[in-house]
This record gives sequence, structure tokens and C-alpha cells, in this order.
Amino acid sequence: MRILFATTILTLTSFFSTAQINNSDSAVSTYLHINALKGEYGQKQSIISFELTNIDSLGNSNWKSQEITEFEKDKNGYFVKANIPLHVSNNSSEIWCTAKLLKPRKSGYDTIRQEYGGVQLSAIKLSLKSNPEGAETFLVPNRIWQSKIKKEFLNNDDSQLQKYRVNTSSTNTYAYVDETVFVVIFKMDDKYKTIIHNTKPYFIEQEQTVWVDF
Amino acid sequence: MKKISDFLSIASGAFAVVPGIAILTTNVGVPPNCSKALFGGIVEALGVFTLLIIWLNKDWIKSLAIEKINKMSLISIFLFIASLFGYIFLYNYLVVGINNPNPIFFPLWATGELKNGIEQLGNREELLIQWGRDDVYKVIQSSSNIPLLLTTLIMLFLYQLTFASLTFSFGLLAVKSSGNEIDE
Repeated sequence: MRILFATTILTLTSFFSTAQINNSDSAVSTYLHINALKGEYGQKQSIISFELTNIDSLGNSNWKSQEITEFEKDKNGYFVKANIPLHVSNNSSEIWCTAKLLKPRKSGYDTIRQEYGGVQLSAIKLSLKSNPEGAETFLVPNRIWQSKIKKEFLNNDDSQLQKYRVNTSSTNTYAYVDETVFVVIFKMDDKYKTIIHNTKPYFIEQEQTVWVDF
Repeated sequence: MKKISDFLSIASGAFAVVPGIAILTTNVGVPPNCSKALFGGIVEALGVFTLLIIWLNKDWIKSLAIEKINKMSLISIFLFIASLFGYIFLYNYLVVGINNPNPIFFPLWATGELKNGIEQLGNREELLIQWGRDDVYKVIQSSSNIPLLLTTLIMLFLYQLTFASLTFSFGLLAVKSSGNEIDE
């Protein structure tokens, strides 16, 4: 009886500890580009949020994101940071994007849903490490950094950075990115360090590391 | 004379059929992110079309003076060389890759943010270095979509003209030389 009890306790402990590990590893920050629709900029409508739906390798829908309200809009489309569970990113053929947008009418606005097509999940794992550990990290595409954020950042305004924050955890952590040049910003105790990372192609390095010493 | 006529017929048929199949199976010469089915299919279709046109008009071709045949053959060979060189030049100019086997196909002229980026950074290679391959690809797709489409059509026109003109040139000579055999 004692052996049975001990075995049960061990099994349960093992199960919960595994669940804890999976939980701590469950949401990974992933950076996606969503193209604007043709003729979109001529229309008087504004996007409130994006919703992502994962299509697994068998073609079934197996995950739907919460509404993503923070994203970067530019002339080309939308740069969206999504926190995607690891089990989803490991079984994804495509992510379908749906936007919720406000369309003006004679009096007030209509809220409508618009399909924005599918995007492939980024596959390059970017490890973000610091010494000491525990730094916040932000990943900003160099194009957006140079045109929109650098000037404000140098004037001590970091409000624009929040939408680029890596939500997986503080360092040491990781995110999934595509082959974009990123400005990686590490923040620890109001002290910042910036590094430009030229992301190499997936076939050259599937896992790449950015490391900083505070 | 019979052997030459046979050789020209075989060459003409090969130039009409082989390139299209080669493109469909190997993607050779197709710009990155363009449909090999589109390129291969059109080259194949126009090659066969050229052969059919020559075959349907074989009696008229046989009746033409040799000087006229020479002139038409030389023009089509010149078209072949011009379109081949034009295609190679455009391909090397527009397809840019820096230490990357997945190069980017740029449009002949840029608009929107792509244009601004190239103007700021100086050239397309620097743009790829500063922004990264995937970011540049997205910018091209969204800000210069129409120029990219027109550039693809120009490339497609030159590509099919290369093979169609070669098929026409050899086909013309094959029909004329077979006509001469009958006369002899």
C-alpha cells in the first residue's frame, strides 16, 4: 500500500513538474509581417486588432489567438508580434490572419472582419542572453528603427518600444524571427544596450544568439 | 541536302519543345518567386505555336525566294541574340542576393518605401544588408507590386522570344531546304 501511495505521489509530482516546464515554455514571441490589402490605404477604415488562426500540418485549425491590438502599421502592411504556444509553432503549416476593423458609414462606424490571408511562421530561433540575466529585450526591425524609433529613443522616449518587447520572458530567453535585420535592445535597471543583429538564413543557422554584457 | 533538312527540322522541334520542359522540371532561368509553370508553359505553348505556323504556311515558305528566307532567318537569329542578351542582363541586374541562395527579384523601377529606401541607402545591395532579405521582400511585395508585375511580364516576353525566334529561324530553313530537295 505504501509503495502504491509513494508511486502515485511520484507520478503526480512528475506530471505537475512537467506541466510547469511546458507552461513556462508555452508562449514564444514570434514576429510576423502581414501585407496590406490592395487599395487599403485609399479607404477610410482603421484596424482595431488582428486575430491569428493556426492551420496545422493536416490542414486543420488547432489554435486561435487572442485579439492582438498592438502592432506596427506602415506603408507596406503590419508588423505583428504574436505570443504563440510552442506546441502550435511546432505544428503549423500556415497562420491565417483576420483583422477587425472600423468602417465609417453615414452615422458612426461599422465593425467588420476582413481576411488578410495566410503567413508562414518565422522559423529562426533567436536566443537573447545577457550577463547578468534578467534583462528585458526588444526586437525592432532595422527599417522601422531607423525611420521611426531611433530619434525618439535617443531623446529618452522609449514609449514606442513596448510593442516590440519580447514577451517570452526576460533574459536568457528566445524569440522566433525571420531573415530581417533587427536592432536588439536590452534593458536592465533603466540602462539600455543596443545591438544590430543581421539574421542569417535558416539553412545556415537555425539557432542564432545575441549576447550582451551589462 | 536531305540530312541538313532533317537536322534543321529536328533542331527546330527541339528548340520548340525542350526549353519549356526543361523550365518546368528544373526552374532554369526563372526569376526568384516567379511561377515556373507560367514561364515553362508559355515557352512551351509559343514554341509549338511557332512550329504550327511554319507547318501551316510551308507551301508559302517554299515559294519564297532564298534571299527573303535568308533575311527572315537572320532577323529572327538577331532577335534571338538580342532577347537572350537582354534577358541575361536584366536577370543579373534585377536578381540580387548577398551570400544567400534565396536572392531577391527587384522590379525595374521602385515606388513607395522601396524607392525611398534605395535612395537613402544608395543601392539595392546595401538595402538587403541594412534591412534583411525578408523585410526587403515584404516591402517589394507591398510597395512596388505593380512595377514587379510589369517587370515579370517583360522578363517573360524576352524569355519566350528567345526560344520562339530560334525555333522560327531553324523551322524556316528546314521547310525551305525540304522544298529545295523536292525541286532537285
